Amino acid sequence: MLVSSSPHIRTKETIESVMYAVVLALMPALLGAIYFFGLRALFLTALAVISAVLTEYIYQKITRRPITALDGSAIVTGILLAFNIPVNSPWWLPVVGSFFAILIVKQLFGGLGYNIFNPALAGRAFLMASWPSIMTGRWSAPIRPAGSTMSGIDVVTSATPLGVLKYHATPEVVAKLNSGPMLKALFIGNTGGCLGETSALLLLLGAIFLLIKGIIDWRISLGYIGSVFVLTGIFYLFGITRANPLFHILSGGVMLGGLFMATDMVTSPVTPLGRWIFAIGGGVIAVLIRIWGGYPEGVSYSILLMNMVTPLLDRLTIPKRFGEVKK
Amino acid sequence: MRQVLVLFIVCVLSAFLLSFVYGKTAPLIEENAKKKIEASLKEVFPGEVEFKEIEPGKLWEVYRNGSLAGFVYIHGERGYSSVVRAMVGVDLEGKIVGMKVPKEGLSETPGLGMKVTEPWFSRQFIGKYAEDVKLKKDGGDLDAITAATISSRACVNAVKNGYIELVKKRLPWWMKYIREFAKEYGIEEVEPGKKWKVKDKGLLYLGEAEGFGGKVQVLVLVDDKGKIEWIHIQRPEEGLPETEGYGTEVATQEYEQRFIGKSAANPDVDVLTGASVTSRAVIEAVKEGYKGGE
Amino acid sequence: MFRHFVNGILKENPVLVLAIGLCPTLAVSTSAYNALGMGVAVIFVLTMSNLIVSAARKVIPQNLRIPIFIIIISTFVTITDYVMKAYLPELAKNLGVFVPLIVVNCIILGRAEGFAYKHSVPAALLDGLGSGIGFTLVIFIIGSIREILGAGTWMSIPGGFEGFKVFGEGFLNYPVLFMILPPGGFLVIAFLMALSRKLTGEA
Repeated sequence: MLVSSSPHIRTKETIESVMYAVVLALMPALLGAIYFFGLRALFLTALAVISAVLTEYIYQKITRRPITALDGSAIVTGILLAFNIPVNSPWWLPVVGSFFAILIVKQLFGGLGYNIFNPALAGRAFLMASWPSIMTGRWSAPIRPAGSTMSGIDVVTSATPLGVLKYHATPEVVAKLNSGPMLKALFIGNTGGCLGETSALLLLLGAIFLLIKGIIDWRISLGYIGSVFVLTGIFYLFGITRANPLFHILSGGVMLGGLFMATDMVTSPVTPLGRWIFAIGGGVIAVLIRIWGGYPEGVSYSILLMNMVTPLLDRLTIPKRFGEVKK
Repeated sequence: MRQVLVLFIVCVLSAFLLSFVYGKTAPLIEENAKKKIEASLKEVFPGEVEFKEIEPGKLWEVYRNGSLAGFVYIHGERGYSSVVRAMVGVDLEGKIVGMKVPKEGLSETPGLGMKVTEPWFSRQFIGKYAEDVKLKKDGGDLDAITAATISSRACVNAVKNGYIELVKKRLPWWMKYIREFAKEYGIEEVEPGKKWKVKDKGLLYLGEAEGFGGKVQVLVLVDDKGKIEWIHIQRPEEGLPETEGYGTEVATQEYEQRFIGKSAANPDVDVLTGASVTSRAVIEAVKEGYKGGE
Repeated sequence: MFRHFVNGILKENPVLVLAIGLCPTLAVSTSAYNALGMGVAVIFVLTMSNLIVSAARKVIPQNLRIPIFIIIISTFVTITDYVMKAYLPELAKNLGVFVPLIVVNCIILGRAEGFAYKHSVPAALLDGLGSGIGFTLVIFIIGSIREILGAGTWMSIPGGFEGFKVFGEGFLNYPVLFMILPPGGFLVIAFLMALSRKLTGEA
């Protein structure tokens, strides 16, 4: 059996069909973002995509490599990066983020298939380290807030539900966060957050399409979101976290991360067992950061950390050939 | 043998060289350190003042024209990823006259928590009572740093708890009454630590006289005709030097009541039997403090 | 003879080619002024220790050479530390523990053991100066790049000159903080290494 460990790559024709399918799958969430946050969501996403594609094109031109800027992967990176920033960001933020993601994280490591980290997430981490006040301090409420369900949590206008849970968790607020209307708002996407992460419904819609086409692996998504659910459920029972597990999987970036980022082919393991370990490890890290870390949200760092051990997971979980003797 | 000798000579030469350089630089280094502390003290307590270190590196008394004018203290609280220390200058009332967060040893997130060192953040503490500082988020009136609630809160707590732990217990007992008057009516200092003008009320003064076991102090408010409107006799828990049962009976509300409405220059109040020395001292203190107060 | 001097700057640049002395290079290169201060301290210690080791190489016994090198180096490091604290207290505070740590900077012990112990005094002197200047140049360039991008200023001196505002005032509000964090340091070193390989034709 021939299994090459990551980094690995599929053949040329399928890269494009796969990548454009992912772009298509992200469209419902993008439309949702425009609906919830206004046209600025589209503007920032477009900037991120243009910057990503241009960076890739210019780099490949200068280094005289085959031009693959329009194979779709840069577009996916651009969209995902834009999904990970607040809608109030200045215009240059997605531009710089995509530039870093494509140039440093993707191309300098060898281009598509050789990058260790998910470029969009590493780009987000770079933005987070460089401009933390923009990335964590400029939340805007959706332009169509979920009405009366949010009144009483006035801080919600300037914070994400997770931020509220971390920094303003009075008993009344916690009761509101765990309530049905709040969970419904989180499911539909009517809450503060990064522009593409809020709507669980629309993300799931796109992801189901990719699952049917076999582009993303259900093991990773289920492992990631499931482990967040189970672990926060246990913590909820013991009173370690005050929000219920449904709140935890619907809020923040768990859906976006578990469905579209952890499942990135290049940076996740190839073996089924490796994928399970990768996904569950990521979910556990995300919960630990949420509960004991300094940030309200830990999804992006959890996936980046698991990206690092992906080659190792592949090596450890490659099935042995029959009769092979352990050395 | 030769090896030992060589090593020995190298060490001796090194020691000589180092002690020579040390001798030349040590005084300068010490002076630098002193200057630096002096400069930051001046920064949080400006004006013509002198500082006296009470607890090394933690608390200084501030003297203006020879009399105590306030304190400077340094106190730290756990922040986001390091201890946030605040260096605060307070006057005797407990009002903040200056505040800064030293960068040394501080390692909060750059761009977020590190902003506690910025002047705009510390400037908003000036004029507030150190004991009452609070962020807007917690019901007070101080702005937190955007997206750095933990560091901002640590800084506020450092100011508050440092005051409670270091300064409060060193304030003279009458300070808390002065503060209450200041808050209620507004006061103006006439003679530091001795006389204050209370707006629309009259004159507040501190009097003292020798009692049985030491100095007995009273705080008296008189109207502009010299009539006593309010009086507080130092309580045992406020440092009244008398022993239980021998003079402490005078430090009661009941005995204070007898002074109200009397003339401060010559209060005709009965001496308590069984505590005659102390009650005489109280009367004496009322008279003594009023002297020249007309 | 002169090639000993040039070698340390180009062909055997301690940071870019030999990849030694990376710890102080990363740690204090967050601003151009800090980097320069560190560089000058290293030039002084390196030149003096090379000089003394080379002058005394005939009397230093073979099997005792390392402890003796360390004593010589730490003597000069301590002198540097005292002098800096006395005359440049702000710089000393910024460089902090990295001044005493020059003792274990492998560039210095490396040159003492690898060069000064085997060469004449003038050669050792030039080698020390060359390696020291090579180190200083690189750390200064790294410090400049990191400060310009990460803080928006160049050559700002704590408690003194506030620095050239390379990209104007507006940039100061949103500098690329990443660059003055540790990963930014690695990134700049990587780019400089790549550039130096390209220029020397090794890649």
